[in-house]
Amino acid sequence: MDDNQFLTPAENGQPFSFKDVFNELYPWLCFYAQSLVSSKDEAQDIVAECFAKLYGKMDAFKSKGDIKNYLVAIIKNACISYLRKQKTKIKYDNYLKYIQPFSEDNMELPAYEAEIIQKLYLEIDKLPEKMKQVFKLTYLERIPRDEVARLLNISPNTVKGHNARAMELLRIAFKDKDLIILLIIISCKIFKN
Amino acid sequence: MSIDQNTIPHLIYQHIQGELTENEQIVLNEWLTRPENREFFDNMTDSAYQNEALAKMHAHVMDLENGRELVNEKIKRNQKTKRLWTGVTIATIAASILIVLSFALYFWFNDEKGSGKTATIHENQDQLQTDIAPGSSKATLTLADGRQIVLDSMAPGQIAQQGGTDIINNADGQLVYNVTNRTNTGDDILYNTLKTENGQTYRVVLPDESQVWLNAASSINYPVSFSNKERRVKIRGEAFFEIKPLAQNQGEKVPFLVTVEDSAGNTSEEVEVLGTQFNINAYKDEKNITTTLLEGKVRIKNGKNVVLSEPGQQGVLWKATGDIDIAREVNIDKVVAWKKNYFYFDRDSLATVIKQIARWYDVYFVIDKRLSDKTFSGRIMRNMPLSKILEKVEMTSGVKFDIYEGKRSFTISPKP
Repeated sequence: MDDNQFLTPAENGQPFSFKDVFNELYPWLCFYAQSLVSSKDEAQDIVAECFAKLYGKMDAFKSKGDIKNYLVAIIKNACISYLRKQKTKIKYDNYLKYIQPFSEDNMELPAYEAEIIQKLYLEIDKLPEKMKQVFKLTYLERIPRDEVARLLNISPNTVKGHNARAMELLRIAFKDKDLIILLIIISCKIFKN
Repeated sequence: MSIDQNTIPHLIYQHIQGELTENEQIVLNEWLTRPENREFFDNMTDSAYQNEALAKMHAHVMDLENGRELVNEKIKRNQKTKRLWTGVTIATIAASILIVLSFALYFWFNDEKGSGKTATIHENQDQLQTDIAPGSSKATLTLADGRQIVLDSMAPGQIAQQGGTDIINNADGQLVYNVTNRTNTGDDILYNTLKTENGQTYRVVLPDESQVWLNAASSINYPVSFSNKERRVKIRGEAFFEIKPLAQNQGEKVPFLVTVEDSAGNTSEEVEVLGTQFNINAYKDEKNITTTLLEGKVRIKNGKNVVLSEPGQQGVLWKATGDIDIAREVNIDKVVAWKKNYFYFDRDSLATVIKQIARWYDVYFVIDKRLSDKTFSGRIMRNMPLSKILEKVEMTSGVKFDIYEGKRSFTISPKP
C-alpha cells in the first residue's frame, strides 16, 4: 500500500513488469557496474539510481532487450561520471582506454561477461537443494570444506561428494547451451575441484 | 569490435581443447591484439577469476531485497523532487532528504576487532569536539489542573498535593505519591501525567507503591489515588514496572492494567498484570510493541487477541496486523539495560542502535543507505558524552559520523 513500485503489475499491457525486469537484471548489472567502479556499494547505488530512472519510462520500451541496452548505457555513463568525480585519474584513464572501442556497439564485453556469470550462477540455483547448499557454502561463501561439513552436520567426504556431483550436473545442464558457457565450465577449475 | 557470437567463442573453446588449427590460431591472435579482448579472454579462461566472479554475483543476488528498497527510495525521492518545483517549503526539502537517507542499515560491532583499528578513529574528532552530554533524570509533571512542574534531581521536597495525596520529589530522580487521606477521594478521579523528552528519564512511585521507570521520550498517566476495584495507567514510549500486589478487603486481588496508547490517543494494547515485573517498549517509531516479563504473569490483549505470558517471555504485538506473538528465550539483560543505564546491542540493525542513541542524547542521524549488511553488538554505558559513544561505534564498525547540520545532527557514512 505504501506506493511500493514493485507491487505494480505489468504496465500498459507490456508482457514484463518493472519487478520482473529488476529481478532479472539487477544482479548482473551490479556485477557489471562493480567491474567498472570496483566498489560493491557504489555499484549497487548506481544501478539502483538507474532503475529509478527507468521507472516511469517503462512504456517507452518494446522489449526487455531494449531495456537492457538502455540500462547498460546509462549505467556506463553513471560509472564514468562517478570515476570522474572520484578523481581517480589513473583508474579513469584506464577505464576510457578500455571502454572506448566498444562505445558504438550495443553490448560491451564487461556487460557480456557479467551476463555469462549470471547465467552460470542461475544454473547453480537449479541444483538439488542439499547439493546447492553445499556448493554455495564452499565456493560462493568461501567456507572451508571442514567447516561446511560441521555446519551442515555431514562428513567432509559427503561435502566432497556433493560438490563433485554438482559439477557433473552443471556440465550436463550446459551441454545444450551457448558454446561460451560450455567453455567456462570446461575451463573453470573450480568445477574440477 | 563486439564478440562474434559464432566464431570467437568457438575459437576460445578450441583453444581450451588444444584443437586450434593454424588458421584459427591466427584469427584468434588477431582478435587478442585488442587489450579489452585479451582481458575478456584471460578472464574467461581463468578459474580463479571465475570463482571470484561467481562469489561477487552471489553477493549481489543476496542483496536483491536491499536493492529493491534502495530503488523504491530513489523513486520516491525523484517524485518528491519533482513536486518541489511546484512550490513547497525548504522544510519539506529537508524532510525528504531525511526520508531518503534514513533507512535501515546494519553494522557489525565487535570489541575484539577494535584493537587494530584505533589509528583511524579520531579523524573527525575536531568536528565532534563540542560534546553532547548524556541524558539525565528530568521530567515534566502535569497535574490534574493542568499546571506543569519541571522535575529534576536538584529540587527535592514536596511539590504539590492532589486530592489527599502528597506528591514528593526525591533527590534521586524519583517522584513519590503518598496517599494521606483515602476518604478524600470522591467521584472525581484526579489524573497526573509524568512525561520525559529525549534525553530524560525518571522514576515514579505510584499511590499503591508500585514503581515505574520511564525511559526517554515516554509518558505515563495515572490517578493520584487508585480505586479499590482496579488500578489503571496509560503509557507511551518505554517503561519498566514493578507492581505491588494488592488485595481488596475480601482478599480478591486488585488488577493492575497498563494501556498503551498510540500517538492519536487510541489504545493499541492493554496489559493486565497478574504479577510483578515487566518492561513495555511501545515507541511509536517501532514496528511492534514488546512486553517483556521478568516475574509473575501478564495477559496481553488488543481488540483481536489475548495472550498469556510467562516469565522470561516477550509478547510481541505487530502494529501492522494486530497479531501478538510470544518470543521465548528472550535476553532479559538486553531488554532492561536502559534501566541500568547502559546500551546493549546484540546484532542489532544500525537503525535500532541510532534510534536508542538519538533518544538518549537528543540528537538525530542521517544514515547513508549504502551501509547495508552490517549489525552492531556491544555494551556501552550511557552516562558518557556522545563523542565517546560515537567513537566506540566508529572504531569498530566501518562507519563514520560527521556533523550534518547545527550541533545535534550527524551523518553516518561508510568509512572511506
